[in-house]
Amino acid sequence: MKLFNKIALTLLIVNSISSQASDLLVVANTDATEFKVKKRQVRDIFMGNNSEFELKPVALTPSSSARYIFNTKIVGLTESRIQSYWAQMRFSGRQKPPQEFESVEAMLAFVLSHKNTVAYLPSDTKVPDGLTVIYQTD
Amino acid sequence: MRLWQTLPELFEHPLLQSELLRSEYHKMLKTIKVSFFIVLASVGIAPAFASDSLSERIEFSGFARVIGGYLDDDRASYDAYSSSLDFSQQSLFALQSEFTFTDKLSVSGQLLAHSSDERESGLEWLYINYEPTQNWRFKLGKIRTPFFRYSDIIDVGFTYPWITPPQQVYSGFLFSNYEGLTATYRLSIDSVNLEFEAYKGSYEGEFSRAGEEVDISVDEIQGLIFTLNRGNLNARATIFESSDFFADVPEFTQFANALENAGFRENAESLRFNGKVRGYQTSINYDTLDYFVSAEWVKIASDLLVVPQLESYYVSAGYNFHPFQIHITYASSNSSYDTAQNLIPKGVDPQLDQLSFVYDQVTGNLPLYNLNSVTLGARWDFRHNMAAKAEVTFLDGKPGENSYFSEIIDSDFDRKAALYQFGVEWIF
Repeated sequence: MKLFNKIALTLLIVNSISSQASDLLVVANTDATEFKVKKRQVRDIFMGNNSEFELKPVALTPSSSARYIFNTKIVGLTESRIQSYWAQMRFSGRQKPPQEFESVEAMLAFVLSHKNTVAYLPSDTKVPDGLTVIYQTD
Repeated sequence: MRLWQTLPELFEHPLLQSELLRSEYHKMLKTIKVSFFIVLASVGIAPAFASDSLSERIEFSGFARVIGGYLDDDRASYDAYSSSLDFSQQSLFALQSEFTFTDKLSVSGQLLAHSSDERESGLEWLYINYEPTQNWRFKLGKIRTPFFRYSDIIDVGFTYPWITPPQQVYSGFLFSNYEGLTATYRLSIDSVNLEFEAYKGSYEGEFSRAGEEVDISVDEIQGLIFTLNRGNLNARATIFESSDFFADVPEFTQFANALENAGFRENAESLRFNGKVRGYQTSINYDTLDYFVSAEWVKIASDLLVVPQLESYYVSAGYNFHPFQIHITYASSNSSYDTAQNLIPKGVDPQLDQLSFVYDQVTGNLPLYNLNSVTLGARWDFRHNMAAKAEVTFLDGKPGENSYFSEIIDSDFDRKAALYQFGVEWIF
């Protein structure tokens, strides 16, 4: 029975994704307004592999649809694989996963008040003044 | 210094219910205090405490697993599993805490309670972490040994597909932690991320030889790790060396003394620990949304008779249909010993005959670890931090050898058996 619930839930999530924006924006709180990055750099920043930029990523919680799109389009890994990757990083003392937020609003509030932070958003989100769009999915 | 008064309360957290964890935590607290003072004195960052609250600076996390398993043959046991269902071999609970001084400086500790008698419970690591720039990271203290791909997270089953990683590679001819220093440098060239790590330290404690424990101290452990990462492709290569051993295996020591007295130094030396163990490893893995493939090869070269020469590898592939995953792994190992030629003549003197005969016996009866295995497994991530797993491993060893079986009850046992395991992995 639990298994069926799980499948039903997964279908529900997939459905809700298709009815919402399926594209993302990546925004940063940075002084460099003309700043653009490539897809693989976005991936590296959010997977802790970035040694190029002084940017600290923040993320949405695993149940969020924008996170599902981010995993699929940018990272190319399932949520489970990403969770086990971060467990490996944390419990081998290498690094910690990005701080997570329940809602886009809470995440934006954090990014706006913290310099050099970076976040992904559904593409239909109104980008507040003071944040720079550094990447956009096609 | 109000900080010291607040910390003990934090460690009274309900998660620390067991007496063992509590007492270990108090020990750890002591060590952390000492580390704090060292750090404070040397870096002089005390004013930084004024800003953030303590709860923002201290972070707890952990992992646990409950694993059951049995072997389908009662003539032997494998990885301490026998023919009756057993939950006490792989189950464990660990708590990790990290205290952040500044963006660049932190102290981290990890406590482990293991259900198996063969594993020591207690403080697994405790170190100071210093990251002066995006590129550099230094750790000083008691650190987990990063010999192979999964060595430093071997207890965190959540991080890998199997319940038990291939024993041919991970059975532990080595030790799980060391005391010393590690330095890591990271850089990116085009779309490739590179990481170089060098570590050096020493180890004192027990050394597990496929199920047997030997007290050992190693004065010099050093290694280099090179990792390359490009998108979801990851490759790793490492070399390490342990030397300046001191271990006491009374039978070996007594016999070595007898040989030395009789004038056979070379043969006597081969029974002692004045040697080196060198290890090589390389691994590659590639992950996508739908599948993964991975392989790892290791080689241990040793001139000690207690550590075999070993060459092992596994290849693994899996298919994802989130939240499920199925996987298959083939693993194989080959072992031998670098034994010195027996220089003790036979047929000259009855006493020498006896020494020569015993030497042949000792060197001829060293345990060998040739084993092929196929593992089929499934994983279900039913929550984002919990996974249920089940797997079966078909073991095919060599008759007459140890082949990683921890106990062989019936000498006619053909070294073929199936190991069934299932369980739950949890991180928090």
